[in-house]
Amino acid sequence: MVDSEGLEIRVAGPSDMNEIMSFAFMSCEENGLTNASIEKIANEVWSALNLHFGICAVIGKPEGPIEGAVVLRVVKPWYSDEDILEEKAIFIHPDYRSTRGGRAKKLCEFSKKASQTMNMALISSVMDSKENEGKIRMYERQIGKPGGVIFLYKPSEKN
Amino acid sequence: MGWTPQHIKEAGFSSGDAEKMASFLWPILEQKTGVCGVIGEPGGELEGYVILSITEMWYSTEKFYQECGLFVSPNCRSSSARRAIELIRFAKKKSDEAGMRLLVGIISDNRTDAKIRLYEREFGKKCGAYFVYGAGD
Repeated sequence: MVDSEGLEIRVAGPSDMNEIMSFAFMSCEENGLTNASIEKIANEVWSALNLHFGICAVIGKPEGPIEGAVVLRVVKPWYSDEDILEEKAIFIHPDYRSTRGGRAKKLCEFSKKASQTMNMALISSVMDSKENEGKIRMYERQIGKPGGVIFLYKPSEKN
Repeated sequence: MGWTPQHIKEAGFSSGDAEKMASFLWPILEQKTGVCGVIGEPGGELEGYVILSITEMWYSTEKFYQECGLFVSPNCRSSSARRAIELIRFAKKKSDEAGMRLLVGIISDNRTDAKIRLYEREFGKKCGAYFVYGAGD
């Protein structure tokens, strides 16, 4: 269904692989803590695009290029046999970040709906950075206060 | 394993599974997939532990340590948090020795405010946050 901004959100499929891969790489460049591996990303994305323990949604104008995407996978914490839905990446192409439409919000709403439908808790991580300030505010509005914090220790800084 | 269920109750957001915990922890205790540091009086009972798992991000093959849990027995918790500090320093030392980053995620609520302040003292400013939707509904 197309909204008032002319944007459509849909479940992505295998034919979206190339575009999603390029989004995933851009996302890793912006947010990645470690170097990206094309094989690992392809495995995760391909599974999600085939609805195998995951789902991927994309947003954009009908028949137009993909403007944003979210990749969700079903995972289990190390201590539990309970499934949770983990947001692996949510990414809006830089060309569409300052344009109207609330793309990230709509993708986040998709993730929440998936969490409700699948009856699984949804977990999303976001690293602190200038680029992610808007993303953090969006999560706070959509999900509420952070459920946890992340610390990173880099040995190279000490050696 | 004796303390792990209590630890999960305090810090987890989904229920613990003893079999899953055991199969995850055993290779770490064998130092195949990580390392577990423990603290206590020599010859005495264990008073706390930190579990470090060697893992990879979903998008990468680069390995790093993830702190899966740090727990001090309630009987041994003190205002100085000496045991927790020693366990955090153990984790940082392992990270230095292996040349691998150490990532820690802590659930934040009223009960964990002090723990977060302790990590801020030992690690510096947090580097990110996570959001949980639908847990406990």
